[in-house]
Amino acid sequence: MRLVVADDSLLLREGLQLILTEAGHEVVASVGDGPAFVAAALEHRPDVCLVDVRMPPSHTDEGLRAAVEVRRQWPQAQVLVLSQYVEMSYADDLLAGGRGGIGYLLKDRVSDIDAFLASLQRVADGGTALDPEVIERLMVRRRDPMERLTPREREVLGQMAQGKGNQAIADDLVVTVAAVEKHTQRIFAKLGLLPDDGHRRVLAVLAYLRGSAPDYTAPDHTAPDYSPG
Amino acid sequence: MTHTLTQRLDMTADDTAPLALVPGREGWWRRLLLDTGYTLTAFPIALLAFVVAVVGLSVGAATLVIGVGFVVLAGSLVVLRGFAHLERLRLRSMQGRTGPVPSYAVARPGDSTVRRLFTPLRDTQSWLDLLWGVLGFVTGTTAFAVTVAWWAGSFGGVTYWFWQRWLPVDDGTETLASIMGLGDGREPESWLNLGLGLVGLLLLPVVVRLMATMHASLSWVLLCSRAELQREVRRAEGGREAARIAEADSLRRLERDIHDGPQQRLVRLQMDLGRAGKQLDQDPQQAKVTIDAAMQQARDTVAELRSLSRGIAPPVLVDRGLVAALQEAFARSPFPVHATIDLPGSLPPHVETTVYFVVSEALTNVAKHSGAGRVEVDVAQVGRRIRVAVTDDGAGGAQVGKGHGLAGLEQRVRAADGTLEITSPPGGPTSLRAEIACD
Repeated sequence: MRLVVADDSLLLREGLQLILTEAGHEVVASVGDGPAFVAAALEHRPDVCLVDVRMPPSHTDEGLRAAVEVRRQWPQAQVLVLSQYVEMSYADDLLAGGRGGIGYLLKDRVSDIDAFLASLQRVADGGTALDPEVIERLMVRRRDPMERLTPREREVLGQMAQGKGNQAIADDLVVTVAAVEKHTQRIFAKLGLLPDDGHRRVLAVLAYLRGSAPDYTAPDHTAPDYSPG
Repeated sequence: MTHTLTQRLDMTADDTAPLALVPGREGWWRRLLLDTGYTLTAFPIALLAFVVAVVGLSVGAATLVIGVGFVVLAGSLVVLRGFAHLERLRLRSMQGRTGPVPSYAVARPGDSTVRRLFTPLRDTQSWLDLLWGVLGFVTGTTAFAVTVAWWAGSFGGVTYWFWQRWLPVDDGTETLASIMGLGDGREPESWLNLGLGLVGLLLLPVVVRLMATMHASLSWVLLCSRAELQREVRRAEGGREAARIAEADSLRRLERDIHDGPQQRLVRLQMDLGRAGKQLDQDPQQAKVTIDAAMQQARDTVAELRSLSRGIAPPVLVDRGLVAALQEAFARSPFPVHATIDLPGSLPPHVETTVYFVVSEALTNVAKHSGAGRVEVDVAQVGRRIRVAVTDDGAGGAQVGKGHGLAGLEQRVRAADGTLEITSPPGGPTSLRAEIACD
């Protein structure tokens, strides 16, 4: 697949590039700040944009705002955000809008190259790849309903929320797909969610965890006063 | 790196100059004249202030009932404030006591006319001024009288032999000398007077000093000490504020440094190791190359962490104390450092850290900007403060501003209840002086 990589650290940009090219992907542009990322993403229209959160010029959540801006101008953009930290507000911003695949991973996850590449693929396919830590925090937020679930069901819910399909979950937990399906049905029943398939299911779970109504086709109107320089 | 290093580490207390009340430079003669001038003028000033204070207080108190008293009191307090200012001026110019001027209560912009009028009445210092008007009269008069009497007695005694000839001769009277059994007549009396006069003259500077100090001390306590207190409080508040800012700043810088430095390297290290893991199966040769690169990455990370921790508190400072840490700093410097260190065994940790950073930042600054050939570092305890002086023979022009690292240093010093002073005329030399409270 074709990718745009944005990270202000040359060290990490190189590292990512090596991983991606060794896996047979093509990095069409590699940039180091927010405005350059917006420009490159809109110009190259890559399969996935890989973007770091903290970048110049503001050295704050520049990459995130740039990603939101890209999705405002190009709602189908698939963005995988890499960060040194998990910040729930970042995840909220990302999940708030757009139609394309979205991902938010800790940079550490990149070292598990197969899992990282799988996440990347999910995002490229229009799916979701959320860091387990993000999901954990979300589940803490909804502690009460979570207590209605068995530990195993919570595990499955966590995997679902990360964006994994039934097959991937079954592989990960070393159970059969049928068992996973049974778990998911029970989870949906307990939480009062409509059983659904594929990406819509992930969004429903996420929306539930975030405590908002599922609204996964609404155009993004949360873009802040950001304009690419 | 080949740089000469000359150091003189002097560990004995040798140049701790005692902080005298009187600047030692001026002679006793000048001191005597100043003190005499001070006490002689004290009386008329104190008299006027006394009249204003007593009249204002009594008339004001008597007419308080009809309201006029408030105005009279406020008016006399304002007049006394003028006298107080004059006395502070005298303290400064004649007694070398540079007391701060207390901040008097000021009417606020929105205050009514009546409230404005009564502002002096609400001010503590105004009432202290009034108290000074009353008590100062006692000390001022005493100082004046004793000074005049001592001058007159001493000079009169010394010159008695000369002017006694114009005294009417009366053989019947007993002279002091005859009572003391030194013999009758003018001659023994002249000798006695000369002796007493000489003793008086000898004691004159001391007595006048004593009188001046008495009045000056009272004035200082009533007119300046409150301001000194206010200043202390303000400085302490400023210090706390600076400490908060400095701490927040350095924590942020630290976070940024960790994020940009070791954290990035460790993430990259993870990436490389991840790649190596994958490569091991397919291409062991390539895996070895990747692992070698990862090793270098790990080494760089350790180096970066080391320099970061030095920025927080150098390990040698923690392990071996300030003197060893300073020696390290001198050894790192690319030019010869002539150092004189005179410190007690141990200081509070925050003082040690501050002193260390003052010296090391100053040296870094000199290396970066001044093009100096040699630097002198002087660290000594003076009273309850540590004095640090760094002087170079470079180009000068250093400023406490952005980019010189001196602004951050100033904040650090202020946070430790200290002061930082930099004199750096264009063309040099640059001298940086810091004083840090060590208790």
